[in-house]
Amino acid sequence: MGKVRLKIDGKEIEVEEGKTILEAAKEAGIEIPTLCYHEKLLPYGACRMCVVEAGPGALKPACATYVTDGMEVKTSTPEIQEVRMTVLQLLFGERNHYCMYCESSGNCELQDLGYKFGLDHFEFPPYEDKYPVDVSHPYILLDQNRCVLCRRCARACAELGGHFVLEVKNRGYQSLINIDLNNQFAQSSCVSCGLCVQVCPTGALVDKRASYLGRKEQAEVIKTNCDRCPVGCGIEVYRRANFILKVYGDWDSPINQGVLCKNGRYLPLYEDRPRLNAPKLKEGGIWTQISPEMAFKVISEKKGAATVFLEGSLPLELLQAFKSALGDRVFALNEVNPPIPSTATLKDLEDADTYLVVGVDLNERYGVVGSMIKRRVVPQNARLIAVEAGSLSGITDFSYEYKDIDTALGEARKGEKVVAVYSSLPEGISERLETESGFKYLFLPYEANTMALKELGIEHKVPQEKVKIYVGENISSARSPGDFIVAFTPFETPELKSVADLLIPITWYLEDEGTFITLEGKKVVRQRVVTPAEGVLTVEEISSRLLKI
Amino acid sequence: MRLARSHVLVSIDIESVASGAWEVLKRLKEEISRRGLLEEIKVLETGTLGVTGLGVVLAVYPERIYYGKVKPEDCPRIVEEHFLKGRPVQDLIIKEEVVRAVRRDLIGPMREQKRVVLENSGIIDPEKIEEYLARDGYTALEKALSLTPDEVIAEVKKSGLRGRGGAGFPTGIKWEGARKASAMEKFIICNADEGEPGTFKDRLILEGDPHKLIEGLIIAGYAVGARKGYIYIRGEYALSLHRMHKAIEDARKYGLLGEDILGSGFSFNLEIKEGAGAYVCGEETALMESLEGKRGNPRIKPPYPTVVGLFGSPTVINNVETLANIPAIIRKGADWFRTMGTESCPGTKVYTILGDVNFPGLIEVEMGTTLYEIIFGYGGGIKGGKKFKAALVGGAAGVFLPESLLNVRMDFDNLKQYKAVLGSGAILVMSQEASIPKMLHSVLYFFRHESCGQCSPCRSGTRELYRISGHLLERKGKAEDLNTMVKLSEALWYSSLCPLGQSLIMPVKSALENFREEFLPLVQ
Repeated sequence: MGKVRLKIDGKEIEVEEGKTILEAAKEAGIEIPTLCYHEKLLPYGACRMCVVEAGPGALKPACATYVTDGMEVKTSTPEIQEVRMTVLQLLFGERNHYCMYCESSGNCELQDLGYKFGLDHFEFPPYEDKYPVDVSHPYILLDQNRCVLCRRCARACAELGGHFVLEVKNRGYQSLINIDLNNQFAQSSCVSCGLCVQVCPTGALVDKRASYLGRKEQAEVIKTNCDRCPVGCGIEVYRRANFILKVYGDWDSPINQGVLCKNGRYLPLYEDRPRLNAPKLKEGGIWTQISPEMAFKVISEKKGAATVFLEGSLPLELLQAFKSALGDRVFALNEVNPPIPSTATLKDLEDADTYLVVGVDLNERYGVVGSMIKRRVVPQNARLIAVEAGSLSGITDFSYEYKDIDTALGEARKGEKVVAVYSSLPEGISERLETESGFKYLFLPYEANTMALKELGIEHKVPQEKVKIYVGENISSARSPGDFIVAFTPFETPELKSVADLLIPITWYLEDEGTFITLEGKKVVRQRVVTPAEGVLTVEEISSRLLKI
Repeated sequence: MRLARSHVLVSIDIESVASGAWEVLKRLKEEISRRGLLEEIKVLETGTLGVTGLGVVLAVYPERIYYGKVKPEDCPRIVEEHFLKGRPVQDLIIKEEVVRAVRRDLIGPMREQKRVVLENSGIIDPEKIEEYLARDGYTALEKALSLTPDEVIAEVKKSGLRGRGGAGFPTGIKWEGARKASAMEKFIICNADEGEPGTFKDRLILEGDPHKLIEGLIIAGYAVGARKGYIYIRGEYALSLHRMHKAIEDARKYGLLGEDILGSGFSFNLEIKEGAGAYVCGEETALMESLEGKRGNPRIKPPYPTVVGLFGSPTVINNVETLANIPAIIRKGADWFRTMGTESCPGTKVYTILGDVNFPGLIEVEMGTTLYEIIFGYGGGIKGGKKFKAALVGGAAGVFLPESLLNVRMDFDNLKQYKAVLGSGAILVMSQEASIPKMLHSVLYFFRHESCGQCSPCRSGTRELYRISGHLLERKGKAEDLNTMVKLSEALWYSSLCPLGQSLIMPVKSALENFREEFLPLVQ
C-alpha cells in the first residue's frame, strides 16, 4: 500500500492509503468527535458530528472520507465547531435525552459529547412526542425515545452478527428502529446475540437485567474467555461487588472480535436451577447435609468399585485431577471423537465461498460461528448449503434433508473454497462427507472442553457400572437396584436428587479459574470473576482432596 | 393510403386522462365512424399539447384549431358541426392567446419556442415507433454507432451540454469519467424520478416522446461502454411507465435494443424500475440504492457514481431532459447545438410555468432567456392583472426571486451570481396576494416530510425549521427565530449528507433575505 501525504490542522503527516480522515487524525493525535462511528463497523457518516473541512463546498464526514494526496484538512475551526454544536443541539432536542432518568447516564456517547461541547441548555425545545418502547424481548429493552438513529445496532446486527433483524422504518424525523418487518422484539427472528446493546451509544438499547443496577464507573470490567462452548470467545465481564452485571464481547479478542451469542451473553446470567451449597447424602430416602470430609470419606470407601464420568464442560484442571486420582476408570460422559477430524480454522470461514453446514443449528449452539457464516451468506458473498441445519436453513435456497446428501454435496462442489461445518453426524453421513478431497472440515466439538478430554486421552463410555461418579452440570442417570450414584455438580435439580445418593457442590461458570481448549486447539483461560458461595468446593479444593483418597 | 382531410390530435397525458381523455377519444372515434368519416378524419393520440389546466385538449389540423375542456358529450357536436359541416364549435375553442402562448411555433407570428427535446411532443403518436422513425428517429443512433465511443463523447463534450437534473455538470465529462473507469460491467441510468413540487417536464418528455429518451440512452451506453441501462421512473407516472414499456418493446422488435444493435456488434438492454414515492430517491445515490433493492438512502460521495455506482460498477446517471438532448446533438452536431443558448450553457431548457400566471404550461426555450420573458411572454403575465411578487425558481429546493431580479438571464452560471439555481426547471409564480411566509412554511413541510432521516442535521433540522416557521405564522415567534432559521439552514448546508438537506438553504435564505419585510411583522 502506498503512502499519502496530507495536512491536518497545519500538521504535515504521512499515512497509509485507504485510511479515513478520522483514522489519519487519530494517528496524528488529533481528536475528532464522533457518534455514529464505530471502529468495528463500516463507515456510515450519518450523525455528522465528525464533519471537517476538506476542500471547497460543504463539510465532509471525517469517518467516511478517505485521505488523498495533498489533502488539506481543518478539524476544528470556529465555523466547524458551531456546525457541530448545532447538530448536537438538534440531536438533544430530537427525543427524550433527559440524562438523569437514563440507565446509560455516565456511559453514553451522546452525553459525553454534551459535556465536551459544554452544553448547558436545550437550544431547541425537547420534543414531547412519545415513541414506542419495546419490552417484549426477554433480555433486551428497546426505547425509541432515547435513540439517536445512528443505526449502529442495525449495522452491527447485519455486518457483524449476520442476522439482519434490525433496520429503520419510516422516514425523516419519524424514523424508528424496525425489527424484522414491523415485529415486536419477542416475536422476531432475533437470536439474542446482544450486539445491538453492545454498540448502542445511548440508552436506547439496554440489557434488561443490568439496568439500574450500577453505572459503568461503579463496575469493574474483567477480560476473560467464555466457557459456554468450544469457540472460546473473548468476553468482558462487568462486575459490581460479587455480582455480574452483564457480559459484553471483547472487541480485541482475535477469536470473536466482539461478537457473542445468546449462550455467551445472556443464558448463564439467567440461570435459575437451584444451586447446591453443601455436600448432601441420601440415607433411607432422606437428604442430610454433611461435611466435605464426610463426603470424600464416602468416596474413598467406594473408590475400588467406582467409575468416573466427566462432562466436557469442565475445566482442564478438574479433568486432570480426576484422571490422576482414578486413572483408567475415568471416562467421558459424552462423545469425544470427531466424526471427521478438523482441517480448518475459524480463519478459513472468512474467505470461503461455500459453506456446507450439516446437522447442527449454529444459531442455537455455536452462535458466533453462525455469525461468521451468516454475515457472508446473506449479502451473497458466499453460498450456504444447509443439511438439516435447523434455523439456518431459512436463509438459503440450498436446504436439504439427510436423504438428499448427494445433491447437497454436488451443490457444494460447485464452490472453490468449501468449508464443511458439523458437530455430531448420523451414521452414513460422515462417510459420505469425508471423502470430499476439495473440502476443508471444521468440526465443532460437542462441549466446551471436549478437546481437553481428547488431549487427556479420556474416552467416552456409556455408564453401566453399579457405582458411578458423575461430574458436570447436566447430569441425568438411570438407576437400578444396588446402584450408588455420586454427582459433583453445581445444581441440585429434583431429577438429579431422585436418582443420586451423594451430591458434592462444585463451582460453575465464572466462579473459578480454569483452562479450556478451543475448537482450534488453543488454550484459553476462564478467570474467576465472582467468589463462589460458602460451601461450594473449588477446583483446587477438589483436586487436593482427590489426591488424598 | 388516402390522405385524410383532417387530423385530430388528442392529448393523452396524466392531466387529460384524469379529465376523461380516454372516454373522449372513444366517443370521438365512435361518432366519426357513425358519420362515415373514417376515411377523412384521422384521430391520433399524442403527448401533451403544452396546454395545462384546460382538461381534455384536442388539436385539429390543418385548421390549427384547439378545443379545450372537451367532454364525451361534446363529441357528436364537434363531429357534426366541424367535421361534417365545416363549422368549428366556437364555445369549445381555446382562445387564441392561450394557444399562442404555449404553441407560438404553430400558430403565431410572435417569437417561437426553441424545441429540441420537445420537437415531437404533441405532434407524433408516442406509442407508434414508426412516427418517431419518420421524424429522423434513431438516425442519431445509427450515426453514433458508425463513430467510435470516444468520438461520440468528444461530440457531446464539444456541444457543452450540461446536466439538466439541476446541478449542471458537463455531460461529456461525466461520460468520459465512466468510460475511463476500468470495470467488467458499467451501467447507464436515466433518472426519471421527478419529484420536485411543481415540476413535470420529465413526465411530459416520457409521455410525449419516449423513443427520444431510449435513443439517448443507447447512445450513452455505447459511449461509456455499458451494456445495460435502467430507467428509474416515478411510480405515480402510470402513463409514462406504460409508454416507456411499450417503446422499449417496440425498439426491441425493430432491433434497436438487444443484441447486436443495427449489426454494429454493440448490445444494449433497458429495464424500467418503478419508484415508490420517495423524493430522496431522485438523488442519484439514493436512487441507486433503491435500484439495488435497498432502502433509498443516499450514499456518501466520493466515490462518485462514475467510479463506484450501481452494484459497485461505474455508472452514468443522467436526467431525462439531458438524455433527450443527445439524439439531436449527434444528428445535427455540436456546432448546431452551440448556436442556441449561452456560451457556457448551450442549448435549450424546458420549464414548467405554474402559479398565478395566465397560461400555465410547459415551454422549451433557449438557455439565457430572461425570467421576465418566461413569465410575462410565455406565461402571459399575472392572472387577473395583478402585480408580480415572487417566483420560486427551481422547485421546492429553489430560490424565491423578487421583482428586481426579473431580468436575470436564466442559465446555470448566471443564476449562481444571485445564489439561485435552475434546479428542476419549475417556475412557480406568485402574485401580490401570495404570502411568502406561508409559502416557505409549505416548502418546509415538504422537506420535513421527505427527509429520509439518515443524517441527523437534515432529519432533525427540517422538523425544527418547520416548527419555527409554524410558530411564526401563529404569531408565537420571537425576533431571534429569523436568525435561528438562517443559522439552521446554514448548518444543514454545511453538514447534511446529501443535496436534500443542503439545498434547504436556498428557499429559507432567499425568502428571509428578499422578503424580510413580510416576516418582520410576524415576530413583533
